[in-house]
Amino acid sequence: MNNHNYDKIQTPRSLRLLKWFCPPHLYEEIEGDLIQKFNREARAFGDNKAKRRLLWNVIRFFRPGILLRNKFSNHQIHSSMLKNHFQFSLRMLSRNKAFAMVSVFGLSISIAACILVAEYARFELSYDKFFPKHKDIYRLQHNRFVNGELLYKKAMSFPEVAMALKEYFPEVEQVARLFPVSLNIEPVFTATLKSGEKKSFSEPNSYSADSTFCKIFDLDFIYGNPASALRGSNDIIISRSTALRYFGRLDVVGEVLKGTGGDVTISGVFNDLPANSHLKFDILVSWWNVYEDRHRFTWDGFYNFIQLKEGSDVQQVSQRLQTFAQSYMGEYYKGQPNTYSQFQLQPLEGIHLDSHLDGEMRANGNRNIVNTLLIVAAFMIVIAIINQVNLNTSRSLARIKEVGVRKTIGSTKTQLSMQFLMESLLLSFTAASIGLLLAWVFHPWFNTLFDLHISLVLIDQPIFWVVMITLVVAVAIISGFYPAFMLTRFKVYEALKGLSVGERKSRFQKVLVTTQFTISLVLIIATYTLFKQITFMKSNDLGFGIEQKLVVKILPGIGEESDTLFNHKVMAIKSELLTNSLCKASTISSSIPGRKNEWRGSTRLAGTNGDVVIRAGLERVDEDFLDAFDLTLVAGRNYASSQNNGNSIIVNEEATKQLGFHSPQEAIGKKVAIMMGDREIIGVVKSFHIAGLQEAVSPSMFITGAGYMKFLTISLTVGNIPDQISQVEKIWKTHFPDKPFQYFFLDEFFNRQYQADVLMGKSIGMFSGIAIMIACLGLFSLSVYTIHKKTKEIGIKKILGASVAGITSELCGNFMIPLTLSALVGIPVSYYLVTWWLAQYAYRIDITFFLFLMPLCLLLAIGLTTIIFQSVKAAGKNPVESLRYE
Amino acid sequence: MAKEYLGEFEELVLTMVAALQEDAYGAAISEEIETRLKREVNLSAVHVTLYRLEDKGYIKSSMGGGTNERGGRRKRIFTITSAGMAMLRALKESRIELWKLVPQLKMF
Repeated sequence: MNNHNYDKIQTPRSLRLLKWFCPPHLYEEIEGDLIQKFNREARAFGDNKAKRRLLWNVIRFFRPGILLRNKFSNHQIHSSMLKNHFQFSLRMLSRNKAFAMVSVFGLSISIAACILVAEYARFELSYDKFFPKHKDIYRLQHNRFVNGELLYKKAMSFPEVAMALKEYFPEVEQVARLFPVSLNIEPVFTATLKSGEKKSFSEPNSYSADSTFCKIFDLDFIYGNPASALRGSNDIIISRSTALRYFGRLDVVGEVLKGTGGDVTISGVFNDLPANSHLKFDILVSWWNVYEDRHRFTWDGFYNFIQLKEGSDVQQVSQRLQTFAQSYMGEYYKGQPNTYSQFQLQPLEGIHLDSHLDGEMRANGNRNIVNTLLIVAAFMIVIAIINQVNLNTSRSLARIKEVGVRKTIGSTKTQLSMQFLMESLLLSFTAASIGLLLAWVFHPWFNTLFDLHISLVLIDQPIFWVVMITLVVAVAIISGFYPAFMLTRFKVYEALKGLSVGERKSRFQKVLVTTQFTISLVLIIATYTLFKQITFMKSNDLGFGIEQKLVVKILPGIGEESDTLFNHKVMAIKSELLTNSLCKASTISSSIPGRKNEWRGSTRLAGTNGDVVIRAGLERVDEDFLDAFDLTLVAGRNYASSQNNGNSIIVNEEATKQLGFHSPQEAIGKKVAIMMGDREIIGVVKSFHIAGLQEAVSPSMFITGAGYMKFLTISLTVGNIPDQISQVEKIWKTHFPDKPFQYFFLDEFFNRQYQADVLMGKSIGMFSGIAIMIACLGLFSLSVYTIHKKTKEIGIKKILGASVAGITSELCGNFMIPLTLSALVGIPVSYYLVTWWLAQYAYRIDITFFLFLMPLCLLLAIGLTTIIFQSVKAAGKNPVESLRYE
Repeated sequence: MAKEYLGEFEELVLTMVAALQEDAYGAAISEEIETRLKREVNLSAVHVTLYRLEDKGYIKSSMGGGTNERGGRRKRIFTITSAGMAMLRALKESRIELWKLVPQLKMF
């Protein structure tokens, strides 16, 4: 009865500590023993000592023998239970096949899309990185300024800069130049096989290279020695496919090819360059002097590659490069005091995605597009996950009773959670596997659709699997969160009675659906805008006729000079064509509209001293050029013939504007100074987009006369195209029996300029479609839930006399709020996005209200259809059944 | 399942359980050992040993009554099982056999 001591320590800290770690089933007796001991010790030693000893004793209980008896060993997931969970999950899913399929479908498509986009991104980002020295390789960029203004930025530079750099900069390890041989000549090579047979091919991907080129860029040589391969003046190295094309075998070192300008000897065969390289050549010829004349020294038409020593400070070098440029070019700019040049070092790995200069080797990719696609893919996954959460949540409401029953039988919360988590894990795992399968099956189709070369390489990276598994588990937990953790908290009584879930849940769901809709809205608007922009670019009045233009390449090849004989042949072909019904008009020119990387020179008014200098493209044409391309003159006249126009020139409207004339009419009779001398303007043609709609119109000039002509363009009448082509070919062959007949259509060529944008448009469109589909599923599930909840209410209303229509419209009204919210958020966001995107186009569509209205209506329509369908079904139900629902 | 032999302390506790019969619970056993053998014994050690012995099947337990001194908490009373008893017997036999071998410990 001596409890007074104990009473003093009603809730002792020590015992609370004990409670924390002690196994519950042992707690009472241990506590009792401790209290007993305390009381006896208090009698023997006094309260304070007893308290201290109590604490000490409690601490002594903190030992493995006690701790490990805690029931968390019961949380051990016994394997037999897991199996049961799994079986049950399977049964649940097979009973609700529709639900399972919908869930899996949405998620697996998102995952497949993500995988493909990731592969694409990886491919694009991997350009040129396979060269061992890629980190130290730079390309020299040349920026020219006139009167303080930037005239242009070019990927090519002067022929001797690189060598000078090597002398002056100790950081430079090695330099090499590349020159595109096919610029003015059509390189055709002929091989004579052992059998006597001759094989010739034209090689548009031929470049002339310094012998040091192979030191910087490690080409994979099959035969031959990279160190000495291009030393001899007649050496040539060819790619594997080239060797096979000519000789049918690879060991062709030492063989001779007859080529432009003479015979060359093969000194090496290298493996084809992989797809992810901005360099694309089949043949490298050893360097020859294209620029013997000193005045060509300032011709910036050469690719200069520089390899810096490892660990060099690029910033430093770049800065000193500026001062170097001034001193180097000083002598040659003496005559043009307003001009100066700047050099820049472009890192090799940045060329493919970031470089869009004049004179690029070929059209490069676009980092913006890669980033955008990645973001879109991420959005898709987000939408799919939200969808999963919604679907799971709605469905799980039907299982409240199940939770109650299970709890009654004795299931613990953990077991219940495990059950639900297992279900969502099963779903997400299946979805991921199917997603992978889809990606694997569809990636060839994806490649063709977007003209890419990706393969599923990521699978080999362990990090890929880590990410995948994390994703699967994360999705499972997120989507299973509500059922696993909220549902299982239900008290048995409430669960069995079927009491409805709190308001909080439906608000949460509404938020989710609103988010889905906002994202979908943004995507629809983006797609619609892109679609309109691309259509606009393609079909906008480019200022010239693009349809039905057959273009034949007429560069002279081996042994051919652009001499009078050659030219006569070409003229003969042209005349013959003109008599043929298939030909409306025909012209011979040095260039065609749509070629981006054309030469532009500085031009000024004759007699002035460089006050007004414009950058104008110069093209050689004949008198039929305007006709063949459906161009209009706005002032003056056309050339009467292709001869005797040595003093005349035709310019475009933009040129007259930039030269300072107030009207095209004013320009007639004035003179401009070009490279060949002064010429009088005899005609002004309406400006046309010589280089596509992504750039503004620039000044152009057209002269006639001898020179390298590259294209014979035929404006075809409407007819059977293959037929027409073979007719043209026949005519060609009569004049050029051995020259390969190469042609293309202008509109196809032009469309290729927009390839990257088209890719973007197509993929975003596809993704948007999927995202919208998924969002609709979300809305669908939400409406199922809400209507289910209101079944009783609907039943009563019907009895009181409400009509189906009335009830339906009331239900729909419910959904206007989330939809309105998504519009409020979605429209500003997409406005911002669209403005940012369109800014990169010189010619763009206007951002009108309609742009946003249409997608919004579309979304509304889709949403309402889903809801109405459900509502009508519910409203039409017999009230007796609704109310019977207990 | 368990080792065929007991640790010294386990043996001690097992013996006490058999000895105390209805009073065999943690605090009591601990006190008995302290008074009889004059050695310091920690309550937690006794408890842990009791649980271990129960796991091994030598003793079994049930909840008993609570007293005021314990603040109303019930005790867990341990009783020896037949296995436990057999073990004790075996232990006794083997100990005596061994001690017989020591001349100074002659019993007779």
